[in-house]
Amino acid sequence: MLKKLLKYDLRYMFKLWWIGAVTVIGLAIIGGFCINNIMHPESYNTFFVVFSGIFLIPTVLGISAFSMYPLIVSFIRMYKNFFSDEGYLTFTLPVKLTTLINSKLISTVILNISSYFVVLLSIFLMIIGASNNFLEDIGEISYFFKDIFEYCGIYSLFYIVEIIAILILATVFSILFTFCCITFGCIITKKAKVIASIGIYYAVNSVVSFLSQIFITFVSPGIVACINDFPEGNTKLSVLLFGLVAITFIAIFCGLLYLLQYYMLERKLNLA
Amino acid sequence: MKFVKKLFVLFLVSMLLASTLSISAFASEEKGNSESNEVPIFRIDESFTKVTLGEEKYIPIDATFNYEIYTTLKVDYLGNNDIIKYVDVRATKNKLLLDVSIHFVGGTSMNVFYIDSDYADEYSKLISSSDIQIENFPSWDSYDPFCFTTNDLKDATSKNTDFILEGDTLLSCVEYAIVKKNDNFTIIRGFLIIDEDGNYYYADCEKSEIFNPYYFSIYSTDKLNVYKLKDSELLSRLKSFESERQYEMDGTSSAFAIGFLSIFCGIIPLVIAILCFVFSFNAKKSYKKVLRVISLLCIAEIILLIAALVTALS
Amino acid sequence: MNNFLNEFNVLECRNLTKSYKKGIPVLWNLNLDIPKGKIIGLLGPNGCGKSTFIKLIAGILQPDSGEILLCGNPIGEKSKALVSYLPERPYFNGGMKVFELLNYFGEFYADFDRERANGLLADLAIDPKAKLKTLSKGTKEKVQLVLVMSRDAKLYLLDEPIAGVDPVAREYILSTIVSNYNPEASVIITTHLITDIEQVLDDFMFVSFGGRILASGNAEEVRNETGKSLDQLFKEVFRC
Repeated sequence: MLKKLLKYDLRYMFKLWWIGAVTVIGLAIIGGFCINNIMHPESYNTFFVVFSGIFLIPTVLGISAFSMYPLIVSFIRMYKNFFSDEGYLTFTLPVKLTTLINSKLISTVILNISSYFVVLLSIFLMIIGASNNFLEDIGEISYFFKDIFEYCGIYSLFYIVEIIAILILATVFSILFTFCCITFGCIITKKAKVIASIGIYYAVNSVVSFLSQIFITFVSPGIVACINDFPEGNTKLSVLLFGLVAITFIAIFCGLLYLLQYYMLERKLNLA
Repeated sequence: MKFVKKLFVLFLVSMLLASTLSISAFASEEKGNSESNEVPIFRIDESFTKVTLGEEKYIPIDATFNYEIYTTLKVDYLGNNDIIKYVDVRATKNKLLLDVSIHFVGGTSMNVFYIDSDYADEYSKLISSSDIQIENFPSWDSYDPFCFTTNDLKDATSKNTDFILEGDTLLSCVEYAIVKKNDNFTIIRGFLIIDEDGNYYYADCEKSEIFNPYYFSIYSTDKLNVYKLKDSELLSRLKSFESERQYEMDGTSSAFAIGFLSIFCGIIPLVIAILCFVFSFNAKKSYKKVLRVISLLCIAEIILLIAALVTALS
Repeated sequence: MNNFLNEFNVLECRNLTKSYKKGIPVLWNLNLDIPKGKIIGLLGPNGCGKSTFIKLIAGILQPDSGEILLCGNPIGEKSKALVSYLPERPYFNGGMKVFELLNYFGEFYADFDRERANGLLADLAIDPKAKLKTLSKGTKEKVQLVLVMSRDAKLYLLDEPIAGVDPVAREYILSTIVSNYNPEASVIITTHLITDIEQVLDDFMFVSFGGRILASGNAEEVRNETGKSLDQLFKEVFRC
């Protein structure tokens, strides 16, 4: 049943995604050439340089808007599927509630990761377009990675896996957090559900940001000093273990959010 | 909703507790620092050989250079005040080294460096050690960057001998310092300078008579040997150098950070693990599994944290 | 008025309680059995808990306490496969076309009869390639009814099935309900249009606030005994 639900969710989410992706990639290619023209004008043509500068605005806006696409689409999909009249169909399907939640979660994660790739690709294409000596720039990047691999040795593979795991878990966390805010907003209000959901999202985000600021201001200098005090020999292994701690920590909060989401949908949902 | 309310309240209380503990630990650390910053009196005898700072005794040493913060001290000169105009004494942060400037009535002055007598042997061993490290120079707490002009560098290297620094025109700056270092002392062996064309130069301090980074660019006209680096061992070391020690932080301690990590990443997951495990017994089947998975994750995270801290600090 | 005979039941409710606000129960200790092979009318004033009861059976709401068993299964994945629910409002994605919705139902419900659905659509002159959002309200409700009645479910829950449709379509819907009769399945209909619906009802229940069943029994028998229609009886029982 999960595959069937995923099919329909992904179909909905990726309906307009392709158009956005192609547009953004196209804008990025042209944007790269515009940057090149501004930085290294072959023959100084004022109109061309000004046009290049102006064209960068929609390029940047396009990439920013596309990066917001997953959040907006997943928000709409979840709201319509669960909390509008479509909810009568969704919650009467012969599937478990966990399957419904998993379908939304997995499809949103896939959408987010696909969008990350497109945004990264766009930035990369802009860099290629902006660079006069592309091979040399690529060489610099590969030299950078080579240095890292030389320094880290076998640990570099583990670090790559850890970074990917942290990125995915962080994406899952932010998605579950958004889902919980939407669910909570729709449960506590009968009218203006969308506004309530957005309000709760920003309120909780502000609290978390405030607490993060306290952490950054008072604690992180100590942690950096702590890391500086670590004996050199064990740094790589300890970084690996701290990475695993971070992964488990994020996974715990993802689990708690999942539980909260499940509880709210099971016990508190009331489709009017 | 009761269960959710309880979880939410617990989470808030934990966050508040963690924040309060962190802030109070930080405040007590700061208070400790400020208390320990009371300035003891520096006493110097007429021969300039017997000096004390509080209860500690100091002996004179050859020129030494230390990048730590200097603290100006109160001076009590016991000798003949007719020839001494004033004495300016600065101590490094750990008060193991003193930089004493004695200004005479006639207008001349001299610098004498003293070391805490208990650490004199350790210092001597470090001086004769050949184990060097490279550190980022701009991270040091120096308010006057130590700079050369590009032409000065090219002149020096073409002569391949001594080079006289004048003025403080800033064009190419010291990037890295070559030091000999242990827990208590850092001795500057030399500097690595990179000019705007990307050429590396090594400025050798050990052969200089007196070298003080705080005064050099303004007052001193000491000679400094500068060599252009080609395929040098130091250059390859520089390229593989990873700037692990980019920041030296004041007013914080490792113990405080470990304490916060233990609370935030240790106690909170422990509380969550216990609660989830307890609730899982009376929970519905669908909740039971998730609650127990969360408990297991919390336990795994605590074990990993302990392993990470033990590995890091061993 | 008679209680139901103790036959094999398609639905059993025990001590069912549900409230939206603390201290104000919409359903209070409701005990009810629905035998199979019956078309039952759930009749009552607004706010008495009819829709809440239907939603509890459909699995959209969770009871505060009590138990619901559908063919012996508690409300969950298995019971939802046995229930065909028609809510009082359109519940599909407007961007889909009619045939896509039929595909959707076919994928999720093993008992969905595609041929029957196509036949019903043809009878109602609904274009399968039409986009749902282009259809009128009445046509949307017809499409919904087609989807619901094209399943071989054990229990059909029809919440106001004829409220928004024209009289001709109403006749067709009622005849579809009757022609779909399956001795193994039951139909629960909630409506205010008692006059139209009572002709197809086997049994009825008059439900008051808190889910109290004021009267119930066989529709034909009650009409013969009292000489009144269900509509007249309803007005007598729930006179303000």
